[in-house]
Amino acid sequence: MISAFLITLREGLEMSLIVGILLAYLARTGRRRDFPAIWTGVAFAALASLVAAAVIFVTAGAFTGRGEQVFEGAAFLTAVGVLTYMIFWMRREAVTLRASLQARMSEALRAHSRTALVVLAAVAVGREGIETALFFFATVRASSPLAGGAGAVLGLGAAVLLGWLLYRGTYRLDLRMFFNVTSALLLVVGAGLLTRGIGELQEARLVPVLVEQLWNSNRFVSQTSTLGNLLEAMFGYTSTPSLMQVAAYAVYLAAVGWAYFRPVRLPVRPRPAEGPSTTVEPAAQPRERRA
Amino acid sequence: MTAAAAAVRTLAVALWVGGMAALDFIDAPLRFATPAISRNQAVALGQAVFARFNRTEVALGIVALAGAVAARSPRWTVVLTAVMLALAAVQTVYLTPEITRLAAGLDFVHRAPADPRYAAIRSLHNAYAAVEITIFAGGFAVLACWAVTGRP
Repeated sequence: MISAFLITLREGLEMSLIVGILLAYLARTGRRRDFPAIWTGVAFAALASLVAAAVIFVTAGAFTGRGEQVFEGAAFLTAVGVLTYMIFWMRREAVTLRASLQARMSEALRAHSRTALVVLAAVAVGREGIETALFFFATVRASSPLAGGAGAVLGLGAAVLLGWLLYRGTYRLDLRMFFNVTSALLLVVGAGLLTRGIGELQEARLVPVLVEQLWNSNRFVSQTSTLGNLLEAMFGYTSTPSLMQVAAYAVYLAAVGWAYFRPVRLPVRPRPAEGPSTTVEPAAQPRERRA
Repeated sequence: MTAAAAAVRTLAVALWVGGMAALDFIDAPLRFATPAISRNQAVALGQAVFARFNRTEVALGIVALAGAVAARSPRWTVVLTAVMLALAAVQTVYLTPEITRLAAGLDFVHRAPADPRYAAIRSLHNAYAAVEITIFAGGFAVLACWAVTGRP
């Protein structure tokens, strides 16, 4: 539930920020009449995300026994890859995201095409939605449908509320800090999904175990206890892990954590009068909305 | 560098989707329609062709994914390419070998209705078709995006 909450909160806030940036730009340029085009795009994105989720769940339903293990293992590993890529992509593109979206928006407005606005909103929001569908499948399969579903609904609800508050300008959030903290937590979730994926592929006899049971910590934290379930959902806790699972967990966290948090030497650039913007600004301020 | 990676990525997906289209829509139907070979021979030939093509798909998927990341392609196209690769891997390591294993020694001309392997093969074949359609639609979508936007 916690991992589903965390993933949908993060993805949902990215979606909310994108919608906020698009709406704020229209408001600032006196094109409020084009708001419905953005919402139409968001509706198409939501539909595409639901279709993607349905395709994943229906396809998974076609597999049983060893096939189910192979499919779930592949889905977990893909989710880990996409999650890791998404975290690094966001770190690289966050600073220019707003400008890039506004440039594409300006291009669509110059063409006087509402369809272009709909497509822009649908693609920008839809890519987050389709990723969320994949992550949702992975977290639901790693925990339980009820807990995963509840976590996802809570996460999306919190993200929409947070996005709305940011858009209204009634709440300020240090987005760089937010993305850094959620990225760190998501790396831990990713490591947990990796061990689950490897576990599934080991059961399908596609990945070697090396040592079948490195330790048994059931005496301290039972796999089936509430705490065990919580730790499993959050950190991928397994009371009887194989050597391969432990090695993969440690190597992933060390390598990806180092790559993400290592100090980056930025190129020295002439300092502009107001200094470079290093954080994603809130979508709109009250003054912008009144404009 | 980015342009070269983009070219490699697009070529790999085009070969992948083109190969799928050729096998699924031309080769497979004709194999079962031609009177020159029996249904059992057509099935055996299909197993050999798809086993080899699945490995080619995984290789093309790895090249396409690496190219898409290196070319800094739109994020959703990278994600979709990764999903397509994962699905091709599922076909390669599970679906095709399992269908081949179950079909060994079965007669597809004079079927024995009581044999449960026919139903199991049909179920796996449906899963294969669902995965195939998803990969094909995904490949078509990313190619269309790269062609329409003209960006790496």
